[in-house]
Amino acid sequence: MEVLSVEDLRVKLEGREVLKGVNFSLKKGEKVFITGPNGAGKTTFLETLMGFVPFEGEILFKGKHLKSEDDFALLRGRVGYVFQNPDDQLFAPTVEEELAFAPLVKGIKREQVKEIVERTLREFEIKHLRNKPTYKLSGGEKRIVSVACVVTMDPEVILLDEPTTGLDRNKWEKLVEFFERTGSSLVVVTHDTKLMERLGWKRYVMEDGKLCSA
Amino acid sequence: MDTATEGEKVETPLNGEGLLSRLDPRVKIVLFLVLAWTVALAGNLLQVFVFLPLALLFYSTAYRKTTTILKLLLFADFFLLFVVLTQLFLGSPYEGILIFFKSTVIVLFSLLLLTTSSVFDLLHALHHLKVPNKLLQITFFFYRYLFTVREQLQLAEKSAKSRGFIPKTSIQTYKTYAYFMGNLLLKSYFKSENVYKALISRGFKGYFPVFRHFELRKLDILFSLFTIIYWGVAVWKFYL
Ligand SMILES: Nc1ncnc2c1ncn2[C@@H]1O[C@H](COP(=O)(O)OP(=O)(O)O)[C@@H](O)[C@H]1O
Ligand SMILES: [Mg+2]
Repeated sequence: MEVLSVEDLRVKLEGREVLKGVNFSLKKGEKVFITGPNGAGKTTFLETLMGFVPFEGEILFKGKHLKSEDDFALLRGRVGYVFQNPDDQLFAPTVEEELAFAPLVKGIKREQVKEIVERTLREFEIKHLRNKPTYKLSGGEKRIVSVACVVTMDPEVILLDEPTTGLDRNKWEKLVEFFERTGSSLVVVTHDTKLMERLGWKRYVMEDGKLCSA
Repeated sequence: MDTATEGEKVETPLNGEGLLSRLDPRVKIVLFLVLAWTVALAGNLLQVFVFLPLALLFYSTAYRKTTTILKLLLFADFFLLFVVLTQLFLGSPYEGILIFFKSTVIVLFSLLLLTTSSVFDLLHALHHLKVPNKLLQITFFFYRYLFTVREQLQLAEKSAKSRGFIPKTSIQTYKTYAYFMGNLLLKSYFKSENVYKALISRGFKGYFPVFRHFELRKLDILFSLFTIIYWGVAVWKFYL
């Protein structure tokens, strides 16, 4: 079954056509890569899927057409998004609070949230960062926390924008293990050839606002 | 979205639109000061209204952005309305109405003459008009950071929303906004430190070198002459 699909998606930013009729669909549990040159429209594509950019065309989540802000608010509870720049994403005072944010917003009970946070800290081996203010993290630490804080919302789909940039060997490995293990569908925008070779998922190429399968 | 476009956001609402944008900002600043000063000194409505045709003439040259100007003006007038209301209750309605129209005309002139240049050009012009450098730099950075701060706030909001946050009246919502504020303060602080580092690492020595310089053209002279003559006649007929 298709969780997310897009038909003839067009986006204009400041009068310039950035997405020129994108078609795309993602099945439940499916994991794919999107690559392509800088400025091709990859980030814009993900932002549009999240409902942050005005668009023409169709976006469907589980067969439902998304139009209004309310539709997208619903989608955002189920689809996670890891920003290209983790600095833009992190806003809570500590790592722990950052991870607890999404489940708390969902209305999950405190005890359970605690469990989720513990598990995620363990999964990504970032327990020692628990009480650190997010602005004091190193580049790679910020990156892994920005992934972790989306994972705790237990999304059906996760969109990730260049998530391996700046990770050391160990964090890279942890992230790959998560990618393999998770039951969520994944859309990973990346230039990391090692990552693509290791996982061997289907690849799409975004070029000049058009998406083709490679 | 990449942050490389940040610099372009240092913009005024009407820059690049119509005849007034093509004028030398030095000319526009001086004329603005003269007109604003005169209107501010007006003692009755007639003395204010005599400048309205001039303002409307300027307005008509910004043909593509006339609705933007109107919106900005209404926004300012919304606040001025409070002044009028206070004056009404304090017992001098005429005074209130006078202040309202004076301010409206001055705001209109400032929109037309000042916001049709970029902030950078305006500051550059003020430098030529002998305003102290330090003051100009503080203004520039203040303006520059206003946009950064707004952008940071929007990004935090986007991040929260993408994790299912919907603003409501709940403790969770208040807590989230408290996070936004704390985050904003810290990020602004670190961002300003980084910008400072970026500046000095490229040899910043306390002033902005300017690549493009102004030159007074025929259009500037004609415009100044016309405005000054209008002003002279208005003052002679209605003020003296
Ligand atoms: N907010 C914006 N306003 C105007 N143009 C934008 C904006 N964001 C991105 N763009 C432009 O859209 C194009 C695609 O950008 P982006 O989606 O970030 O590319 P990618 O992620 O593939 O590198 C670029 O040319 C970029 O300059
Ligand atoms: Mg990008």
